[in-house]
Amino acid sequence: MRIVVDILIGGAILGAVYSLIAVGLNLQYGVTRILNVAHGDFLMIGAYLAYFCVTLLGMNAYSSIVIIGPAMFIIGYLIYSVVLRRMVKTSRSGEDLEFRSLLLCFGLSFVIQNFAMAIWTANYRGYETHSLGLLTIAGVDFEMNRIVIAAISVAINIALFLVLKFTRFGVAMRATVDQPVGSQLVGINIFTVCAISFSLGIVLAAWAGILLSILSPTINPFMGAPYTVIALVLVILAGIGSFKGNIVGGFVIGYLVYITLRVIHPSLTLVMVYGVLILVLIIKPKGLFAR
Amino acid sequence: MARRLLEAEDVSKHFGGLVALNEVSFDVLEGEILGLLGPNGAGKTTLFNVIAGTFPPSSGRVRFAGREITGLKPYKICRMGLARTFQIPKPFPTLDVYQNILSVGMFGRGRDRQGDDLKRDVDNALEQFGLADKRSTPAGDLAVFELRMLEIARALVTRPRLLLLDEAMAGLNPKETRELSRIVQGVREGGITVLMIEHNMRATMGLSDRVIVLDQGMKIADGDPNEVCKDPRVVEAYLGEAYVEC
Amino acid sequence: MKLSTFARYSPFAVFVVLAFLPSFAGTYYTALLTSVLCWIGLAVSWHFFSGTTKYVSLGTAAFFGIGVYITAVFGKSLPFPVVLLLAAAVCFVFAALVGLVTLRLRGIYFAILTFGLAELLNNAILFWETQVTGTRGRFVASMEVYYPILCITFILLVVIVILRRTRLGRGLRMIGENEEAAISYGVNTTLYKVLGFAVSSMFMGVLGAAFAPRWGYIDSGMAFSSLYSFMPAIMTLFGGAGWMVGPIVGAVVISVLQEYLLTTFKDYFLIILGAIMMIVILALPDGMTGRLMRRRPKAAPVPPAGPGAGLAAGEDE
Repeated sequence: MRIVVDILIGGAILGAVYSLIAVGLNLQYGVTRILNVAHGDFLMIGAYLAYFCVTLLGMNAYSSIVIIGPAMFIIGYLIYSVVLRRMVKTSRSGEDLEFRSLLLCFGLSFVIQNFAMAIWTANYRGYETHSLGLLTIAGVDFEMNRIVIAAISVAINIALFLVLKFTRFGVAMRATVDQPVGSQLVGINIFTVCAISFSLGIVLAAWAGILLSILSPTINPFMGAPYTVIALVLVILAGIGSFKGNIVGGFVIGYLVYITLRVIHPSLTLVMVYGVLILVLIIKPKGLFAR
Repeated sequence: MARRLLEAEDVSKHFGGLVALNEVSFDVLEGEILGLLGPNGAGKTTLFNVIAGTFPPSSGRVRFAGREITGLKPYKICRMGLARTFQIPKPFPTLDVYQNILSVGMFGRGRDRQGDDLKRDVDNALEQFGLADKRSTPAGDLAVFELRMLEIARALVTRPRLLLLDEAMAGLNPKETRELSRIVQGVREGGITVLMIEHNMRATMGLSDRVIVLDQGMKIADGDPNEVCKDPRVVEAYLGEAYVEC
Repeated sequence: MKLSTFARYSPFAVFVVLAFLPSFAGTYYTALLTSVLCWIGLAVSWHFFSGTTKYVSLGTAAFFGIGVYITAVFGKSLPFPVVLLLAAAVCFVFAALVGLVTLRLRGIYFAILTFGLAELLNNAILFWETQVTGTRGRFVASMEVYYPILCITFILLVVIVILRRTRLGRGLRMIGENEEAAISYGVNTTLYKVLGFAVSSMFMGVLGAAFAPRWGYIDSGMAFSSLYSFMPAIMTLFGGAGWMVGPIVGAVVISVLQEYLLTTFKDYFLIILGAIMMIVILALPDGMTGRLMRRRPKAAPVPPAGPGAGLAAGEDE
C-alpha cells in the first residue's frame, strides 16, 4: 500500500515538473519551428542563477523565480533577435530552417555547457533548502518542498494555458502555430510573436531549473542534457503545439520514470522512456494528441 | 473503343470535417487528353494527390490499366507508368537541369533503360522543352516557364503511360500557353494519355478531347468541352470568375 | 599527365605516401594523423547520409561507441577483422531499426531520436555492466592503430565514391533536394533513407572498433561521449559543399585546430568550436569550400553571395 501511495504521489510530482520542463520547448518549436536542443542548458542556467541568488544575495530560492524570469526573458529575446532572426531570414524553406537551427542550437548547447564549466567549474553545487516540513499520506512521508514545487509547476502550466487561450497575445501564438502564413495576413507580427514565444520558452526552462535546484544539490554544467532528452521526447509524445498533450504526456513519463526509479532500476529510466517513445512513434507517429 | 486507362470510382477524401472530394467517379481513356476543370478549391489537386498516391482516399478506389492502385505509395504508382507534375514546380534546386532529368529517369517506369538510352532520352527532352542551353544551370536558378518545362520533362522521362499535369498553364502569357499546348499535343501524339488540371477553361477547350468539371468536391459535368461550358451548373460554379469564356 | 588521370590516381598516391609516413614522422605526428584520418572517416560518413538528405543525425557517438565497445568486449577473444565485421553488422542492423521507426516521419523526429541515442546506450550498457557482468570499464590491448584506421578510411572513401554513383547515392541526393519530388518520381524514399543511414552508421561503428585499442581503457562514458556526435557535424558544415572535399577539408582543419586548442586553451576549446559551428551556420551556409568556390563560370560574375542571397530569393515566394 505504501508503495502505491508513494508511486501515485511521487509520479505525479515528477510528472508536473516534466510538464513544465517540456512546455517551453513545445511552445518554442510550435511557434518558431526552431527546435532548441540547448533547452536543458537554459534549465541549467536557471539552476545556477538560483544558486547564486541564494548564496550570494541571500534570497529565498522561490523568490528568485521573480527575478530570474525577466532576466532570462531578456536573454532569450536577445538570442532570438540577434542570432535566430538572421537564421530565419537566410533560410530557403521551412525544412532548411529546421535543419540549420537544429545544428545551431546543438552548437549553442556546447558553448553554454562548456562556458558554464569554464567559469563555474564542474564541481557540484547545491544549497541548503529550508525544509517546509513533511506531509504524511497513508503512512508515506513527502517532503513539502516537493509538493510545493509540483504545485508551482502546475500553477505555471495553468497560467500559461490561460494566457494562450484568453489573451490576445496567446491567441496570436496559437494562430502562428496553426497557420504561419495566414496569421501574417491578418496582421500578426510574426517576428514579435516568435521572439516572445522563444523567450518565454527560455524563461520556462530556467524556472524549471530553479525548481529542480531546490530539490537536489547536484547543480553542474552538464545537468541539462537528460532534461533536454525528456523535453524532446515529450514534444513528440504530446504532439507539437498540443498543450493538453504536454500535460498528459508529462504525467505519463513522470509515472514511468518514477516507477522505473523505484521499482525497476534507476539506470533504466532512459531506456524505458525511449522504449515508450519508439512505441508511440510506431503506432501514432504524430503524437498522442496531434492536431 | 479505347481502353480505360484510369478509373476512379466513388473517390472521397475528407480532412477532419472538411470534405474535399465527394464520391467522384470518372474514367480516362487511353490516348485522350482529358481536362479537369473547376473553380478554385473544387478539389482538383486533391484528386490528383489521391490518384498519384500522395495520400489515400477516405473511400473509393482508383485503378490504373486495370490494376488497383488505391493507397499505393507514389513511387510505386510512378513505376507503373503514371507520372505527375506539381502546380508549384518541385525541382532539385542545386542539381543542374541535366541532372534533374537524368536522376528521375533512373527511377521511373523506364528505370531499366541502358545508360546510353537514358542519356539520349534526356538530351531529347532538353531539346523538346527548350532547355538545351540551360543544361548546366542549377534548377534553382531557372525562370518560371523554364521550371514548368522542366517539370514536364522530368515527368516524361519516367516513360509514363499517363501524364497528370497540374495547372501547367497557370500564369503563362499567350505565347507560352500556345507553346505548352503544342507540347501537350505532341505528348499525346507520342502515345501518352494526358489528364490535365486547368483553371482556365478557354485554354483547355481547344486542347482537350473531353472535359470534367468539379465543384466543391463533386463532379458536375463530364463530356464535350463545347457543351460542358454551356452547362448552367458549370456556369454557376464559375460565377464571379472571369474564366468562363467559351 | 592529363588532369583526369591525375584526379583518378592521386588518391592512391596519397595512400601510398601515408602508408610510409610513420617511418618518417615519429609517434606524435602518427598519432595525430590517426586521429585526423578517423575524423575524416566519421565526417564523410556523416555527410553521406545527413549532409545529403538533410536528416540530421545527432547520434554519431552512439554508433562510434558501439564499435568501441565491441572491441572492448570481444577484442581479446576474437581476431581483429572479425571484431570489425561484428561492429559493422551490429551498427548496420541497429541503425536500420532506428531508421525504420523514425525515417518514415519528418526529419525532426529523426533528429530527436538520435539525439538521446548515445546517452541511452551509455545508460543501458552501464546497467548491463553493473548488474549483469559486474565489470566497470574494460581493458583493451593498447596499441597504435594507424594502419587499420588508414585502410578503413580509405576503403570507406572508395565505397562512398562508388555508392554515390549508384541508385542509392542518387536517390539520397534527390531526397535531400526535394523529397516529395523524389517519391513522386519513383524513389522508394523510406527504403533509401534507412539504407543510407544504416551504411553511414556501419562505417562509424567500424571506425570506432578500429580506434578503440588506442585508448587502452574504455568505459561507457568515454565510448559514447557526445563529442563524437558534435564533431562530424561541425566538420562537415565547416568544410561545406561537396560530398567529399567538404567533409575532408572540414575534418582536417577542425581536428588540427582541436589539437592546437587542446594544448593552448584546454578549457575553452569546445566553446570555441561550438562558436565556430554557430558562426558557420549563420554566416557561411555553404561552408568554407562553398565560400572559396563560389563562382559561376557561365553567367556574369556574381559578387560573393553572402547570406543575403537567400533573402532575395526567398522573400518573393
